Amino acid sequence: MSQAALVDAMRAGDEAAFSQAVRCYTPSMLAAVWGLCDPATAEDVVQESWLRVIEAIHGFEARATLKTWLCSIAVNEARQRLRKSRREIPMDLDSASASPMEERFTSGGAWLVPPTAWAEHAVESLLERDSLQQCLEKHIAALSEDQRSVLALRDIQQMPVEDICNILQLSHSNLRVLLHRARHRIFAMVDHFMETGEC
Amino acid sequence: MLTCREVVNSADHLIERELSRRQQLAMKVHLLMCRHCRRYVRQLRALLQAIPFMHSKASDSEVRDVMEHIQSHQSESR
Repeated sequence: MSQAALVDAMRAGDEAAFSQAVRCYTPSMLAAVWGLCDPATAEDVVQESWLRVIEAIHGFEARATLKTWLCSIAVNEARQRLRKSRREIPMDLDSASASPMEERFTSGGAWLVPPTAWAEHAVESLLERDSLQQCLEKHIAALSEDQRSVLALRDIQQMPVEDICNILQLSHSNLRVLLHRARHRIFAMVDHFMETGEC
Repeated sequence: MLTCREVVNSADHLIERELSRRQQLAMKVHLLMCRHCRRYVRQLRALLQAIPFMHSKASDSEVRDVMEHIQSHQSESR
């Protein structure tokens, strides 16, 4: 079903269309709020967001994709909760969370600890290995909130950079810094796993 | 010439094709000569291609949870 047809069906109160939208877009909405709240709260936020969607879908103007619009609703819902709990999340751009790859170079910028040679086809089967999948999930969960959000939206959900900037209200350059650091951390984790078999 | 650190710091921009022609050329020249950086870029590219498959669509139980939440809310507001 095209996006326009799906939106029309949702406006008409078609429950099957709504279920289809929930199935397709809930993971993206969860990813969008991943950095703003804990996993249990994130699920609650997304459920509440779907309630808002029932009303708001009539005003959806298709200036953004449906996915981006739904993620924005979820992020707004999460932010409202944060404001109520008066919790502020600082932007994680300080040196304390600098890239773990930095220590793998000499002061002159040459490799000190080069990457391990991953076995051929290792990546094709990367996520078929439960132990690695679990390790990856553990390390993604341990990223800073901002890094986790951008990695989830860009690399897992594959959302356009401009949409992520709008949803998370980030500048392009801040998004790039966060994404870059998150990728370095994940690469360093997989590299360690490939070398030692340990998470 | 770029250092290995600079190549690693620009590798994701190279993969996402966000570099100017001049920057791309500088990267390619370095990669021709440095097997560690070639390996880094190749493995990062493979990792970024694999990650999207971590999550797909919502499961039946997730969909059911949301739909039940909506239905209970609607019956409460009637």
